Amino acid sequence: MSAALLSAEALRIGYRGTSMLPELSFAVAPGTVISIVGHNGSGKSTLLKTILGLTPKLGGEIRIRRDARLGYVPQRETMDPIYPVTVGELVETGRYGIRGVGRRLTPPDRARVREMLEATGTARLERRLFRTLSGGEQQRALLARALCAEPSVLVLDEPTASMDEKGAHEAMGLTLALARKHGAAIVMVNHFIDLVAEVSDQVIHLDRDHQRVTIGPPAEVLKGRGSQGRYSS
Amino acid sequence: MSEKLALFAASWELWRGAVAAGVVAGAVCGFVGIYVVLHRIVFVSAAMSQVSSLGVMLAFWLVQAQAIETAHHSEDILPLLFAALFTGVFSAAMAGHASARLSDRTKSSEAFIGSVYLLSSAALVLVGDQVTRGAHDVANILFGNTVIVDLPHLLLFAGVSLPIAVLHVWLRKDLLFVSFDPVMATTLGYPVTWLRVLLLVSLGMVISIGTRTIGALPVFSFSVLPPIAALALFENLRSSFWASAVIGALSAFLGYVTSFLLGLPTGASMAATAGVFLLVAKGLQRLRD
Repeated sequence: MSAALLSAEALRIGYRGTSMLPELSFAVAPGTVISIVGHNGSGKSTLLKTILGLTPKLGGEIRIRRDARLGYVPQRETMDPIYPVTVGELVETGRYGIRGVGRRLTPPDRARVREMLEATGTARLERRLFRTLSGGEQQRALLARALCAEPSVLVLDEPTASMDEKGAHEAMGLTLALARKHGAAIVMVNHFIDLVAEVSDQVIHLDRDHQRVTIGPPAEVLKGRGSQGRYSS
Repeated sequence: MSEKLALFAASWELWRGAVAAGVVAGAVCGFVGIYVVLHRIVFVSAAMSQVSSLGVMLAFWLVQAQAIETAHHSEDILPLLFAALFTGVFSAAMAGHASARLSDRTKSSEAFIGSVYLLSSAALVLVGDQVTRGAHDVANILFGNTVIVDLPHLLLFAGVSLPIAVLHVWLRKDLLFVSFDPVMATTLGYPVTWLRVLLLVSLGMVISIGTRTIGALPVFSFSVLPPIAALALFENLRSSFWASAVIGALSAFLGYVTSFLLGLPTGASMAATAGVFLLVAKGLQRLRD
């Protein structure tokens, strides 16, 4: 069995047969953090969607270890506010994949939901409608849901979007602490260069204009890209 | 007025089939209509009604043209089969569209729904014009002016829609999940496309048989107005589902009685009663908020 939870080999991503980037290869080892950075339109979201199986790959391989499970934290803006879903109901859906279609949640499922609500500080919001929460609270509820799925790889799509740097550090601090506690690796898209440099084991930098993908330790990949600020989102 | 009520009660045996069909349609369409409203596919429901009506009318026309030989007893079944077939094909196409949009947001469902609605409406009028069963039958199907529903039709409608209602109660959380967050559902290994097909095809079956039984207008109204009213009254999904079913059933019953008392067309009366419930619910929502 491979040590990598998730790996990509000569992966080609894009739409309608047109590659957005050169082939890329990487591996996600247990407990590591991989950040995907790049400017708007560079292909970050497409890469994430391809990893998640939402967008078909154009070529190459994505391998997910047989016992690995993905947990996904989408951008909170993608949640349709028309649905009157409470925080408790939202977090419960993280268990649906484990339980399966047509099955009710069991007491252990409910215990896991409660544990994740408490771990993310959203237990007091359990009966509140998700759409009425602040951005930070919504992010924590989405994190609780992803962790409910007992993921071995946590995939985060811009978890700190529209947060200031302080808020982003706090949110990432909580995410990293919980991911480590539950033994999950992280693959994320993030715009804060300082934050990425601080928490990542590897960085995938996408440069669509120059058709270049750079993968390596943050000190190497982010060198010369400025230590302050953020990529445009 | 009281004399008319007494007359209505005295001749209850005549009306009870239509009232029961309306109540079943109101309750089931009201329940499944929550998905229609939340999933923002109101016009899918409208297009389904039109497609289904076209299927019925085409069956009438084929029988009339003797393109299909039918035994007398199958004359009633054929329109239902055509309605279900047309709606089934449309439902499957819609599910395919919705799934394709998950990976490619340039695909527009609205254009497809609008085209189907317009073309089936035009075809309905053109085919209806050729059917000698008369304008009365066309009006019954489109506007739901059916005053009497016989027992076999009622049993068929209930026999199809009630199991679908049970299925929807059983799979409520799963169907909601794939509607609310199909991306997350996909990453968790949920059969999103199949659940969507199930949702749309079951919706299509209720709408097609409901259209043949009580008409397109009330069926479309029950799948839209009670859910909007219920979602305005309650800010939680479980209560909204049940409230919508109750409002749909009440709209059908009160609408039918009103049509009898005031001599109004039944389908329009049921739809208007659902509209009154919606206005009251929106008023209460304003007071609450």
